Amino acid sequence: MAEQTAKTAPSKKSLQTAREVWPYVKEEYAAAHRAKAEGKPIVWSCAVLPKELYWAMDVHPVFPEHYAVITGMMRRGGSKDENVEKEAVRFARVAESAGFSSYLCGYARSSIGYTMLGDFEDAPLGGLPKPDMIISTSFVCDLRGKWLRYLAQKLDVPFYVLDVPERGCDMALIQPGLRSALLPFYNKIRRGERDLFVSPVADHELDYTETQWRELIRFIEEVTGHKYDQDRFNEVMETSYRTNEIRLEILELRKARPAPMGVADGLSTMYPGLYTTGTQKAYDFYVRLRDELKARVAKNEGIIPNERFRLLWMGLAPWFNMSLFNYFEKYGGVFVFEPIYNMVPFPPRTPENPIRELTIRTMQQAGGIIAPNMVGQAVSTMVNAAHEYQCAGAVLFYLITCRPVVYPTTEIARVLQEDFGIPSVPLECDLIDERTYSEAQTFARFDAFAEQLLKAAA
Amino acid sequence: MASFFQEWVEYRHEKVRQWKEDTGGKAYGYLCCMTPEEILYAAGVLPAKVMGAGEAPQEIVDKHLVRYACPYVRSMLDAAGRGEYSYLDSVVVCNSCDIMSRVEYYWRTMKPHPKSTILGVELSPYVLYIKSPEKISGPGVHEYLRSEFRIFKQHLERDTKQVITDDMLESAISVYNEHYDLMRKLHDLRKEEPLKVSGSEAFVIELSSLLMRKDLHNQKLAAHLKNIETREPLSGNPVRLFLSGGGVDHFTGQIYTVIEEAGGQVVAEDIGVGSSWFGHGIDTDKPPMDAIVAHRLDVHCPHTMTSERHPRERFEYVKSKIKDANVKGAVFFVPMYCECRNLEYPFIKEGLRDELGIPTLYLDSDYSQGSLDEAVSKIEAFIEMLEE
Repeated sequence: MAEQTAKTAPSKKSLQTAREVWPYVKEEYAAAHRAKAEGKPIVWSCAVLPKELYWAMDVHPVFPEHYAVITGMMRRGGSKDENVEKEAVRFARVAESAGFSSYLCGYARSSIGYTMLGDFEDAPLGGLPKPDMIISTSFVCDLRGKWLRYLAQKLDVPFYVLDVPERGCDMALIQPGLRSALLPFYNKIRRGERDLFVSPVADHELDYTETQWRELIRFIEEVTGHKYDQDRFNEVMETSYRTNEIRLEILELRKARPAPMGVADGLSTMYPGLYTTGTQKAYDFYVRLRDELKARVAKNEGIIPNERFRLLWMGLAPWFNMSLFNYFEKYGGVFVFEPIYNMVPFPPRTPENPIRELTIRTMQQAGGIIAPNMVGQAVSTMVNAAHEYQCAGAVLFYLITCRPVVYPTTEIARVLQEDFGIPSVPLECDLIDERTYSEAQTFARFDAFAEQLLKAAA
Repeated sequence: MASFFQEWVEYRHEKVRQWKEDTGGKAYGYLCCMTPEEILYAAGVLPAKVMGAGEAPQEIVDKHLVRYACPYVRSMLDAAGRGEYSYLDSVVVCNSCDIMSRVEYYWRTMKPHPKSTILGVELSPYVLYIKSPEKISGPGVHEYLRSEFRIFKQHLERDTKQVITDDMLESAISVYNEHYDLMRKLHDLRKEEPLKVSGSEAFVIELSSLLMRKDLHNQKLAAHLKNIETREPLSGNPVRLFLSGGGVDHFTGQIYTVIEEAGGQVVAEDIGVGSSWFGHGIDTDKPPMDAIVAHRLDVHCPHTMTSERHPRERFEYVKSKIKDANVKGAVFFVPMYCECRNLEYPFIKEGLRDELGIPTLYLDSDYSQGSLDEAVSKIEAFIEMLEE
């Protein structure tokens, strides 16, 4: 891996609401420390697992995965000196020296190194409060189960993994009971040679996943003594549902030309929805975001004054250098959409059996837009997104340390180009480990890509 | 006799083709030990392990899959894309890791194989994907996997135009139990001192069992075990090693030779398909499908997890494999990007060192001759250290 020689910087956000995220995040970490001090049970968990149960059962979740993002953006002691390496690199070195390979996810290496060092407070934002239990899941990637299992082994706390069947399909979203037309563009593939593989969710998959959720409830009850209360859970699920409806409105507003909200804003504003969904605070946040967007669209106001080409982003975020999302603006290019961390339509509320409702959501998220898990799903997600958001090209994150994200990239590039004439360019690096990033290579590729798109537009 | 097993490994494509020609039967390729081989066997099908070729360049797979992926699986896919496996009547893929679960897509895309459809629906897909669970214990998992196996069985019945009855499954279980017994005897011999069976010989015998019908393998192995009893022990005083590795194929087989040439012998291993589940047979008191499911839920591979609150199962599994084998060191020969194996390594390494006093050597493999060459000096130095 190349050692860092590049300048890295945060992105320039376009929306006021997006600039509210950092204070929101800091307050969440402060709240977690307060919860610990008050004796509330702390669970370390992961991004893709729905969080509603935690709020309903009065356990406070924190996320090594998100904390790793923080370590990828901050230097030791809050230093701004570019000669001081980011905390993620310091922690990753510790994990690597213990035998964890450098090809593993930067999130995992950072949080493993942080945990191995054992000095929990000597880290950004005062570190993470120590957990009383660790809960992970099998879906999206193999790594998150094993990575959090290692943390549980190291910290000697109870561990639970919520197993979800790993479903293959060529559709981004198949939800039991869905009554909508799907994939308007994927079905129109020009060559007419591609078969569409469909794998609807079967009863036994739902039953198994529901059992996994019910076991998780039992696990939390046994570890904490807190009892599951269906009424309380329904309240959280209701807030979560209403929040999602607002987020769907936001996704629609983002289709406008000129683009009112870019990927820099999109990736920043994922935090409340991904980590605090089900809370009133998250709901209020997205109402503010929607209202700001609505006003922008009404005024025909875009991210930049003269939008010349629109780009689609594929992958997670290079958190250590989010300024890349502003790179094409000098060419009149804007990143308009990122099919990651956003939500799909939820199933209808089912108050008489909210665990089953959550199960359906879990199955859908395991194969949906939040985690385009299998290759066919990822391809159709990108094809649909490129059309819905009118993108002339795509930048694909060849996230060399994340198997589920990097696997489909070649197929996405191939299908976009061969079937739709949409070109793409890769960005190759880790998400927080800046040692893997080459500025010269990235800028050379991006410059050539911008010229190609401008020529095509002309 | 050993050459019989070696021949099946070396000329595996020709041997399977020949079997098909001689019997008129079907051969299904499979990639993972979660595959319910016994159901295939009951249907008269030859389950044949798909293996990589270990060759570069991999031009076909490069068009579809990045190089940041398991080189072992990439190699298998490239071989499929080149048509090396065109004689297979179907391919069974399980959710045995992130890349394996995507092989369904890649195989379909790289080597389309149209099959009969009714109203556009394939009656029995060419690539059969079993969504095997990651968790192998806890409520609901048995019922879940049984449903997956029922779907698999239904496709197989349609493809072979027959009903697979419980009697047929019981007969298959009986053959497989004999196989597990024989293999256990072979592995027990490797715990003896002095050794009469080398690691490489045992590996070839095991590998060949993944390529031929088990009744034939049983017959040959039973005779071979008798021969071993009367043979002289191996010469020298090899350093006894445990090997943890990736793919089961002739490429991994070469690391046994490297170890033996450096003065060591692999006396126990944990290498994916094969001995991973030879710890015990299939329960004959249960209904046959349930018995097969229970057997598969006892596969403690690096991908599976248990419902333990304080998980140590993979370390305990490794301990069970080396019990009574008088192992002096452990070699981990792991394909690049194999996250499941890499993520468990530090915990197992610490356990081996702290609880059993066994040192470890970790080697990455890019599935090329180069990585074998690089391994030579490291293994020599490791064995030298153990001899001191």
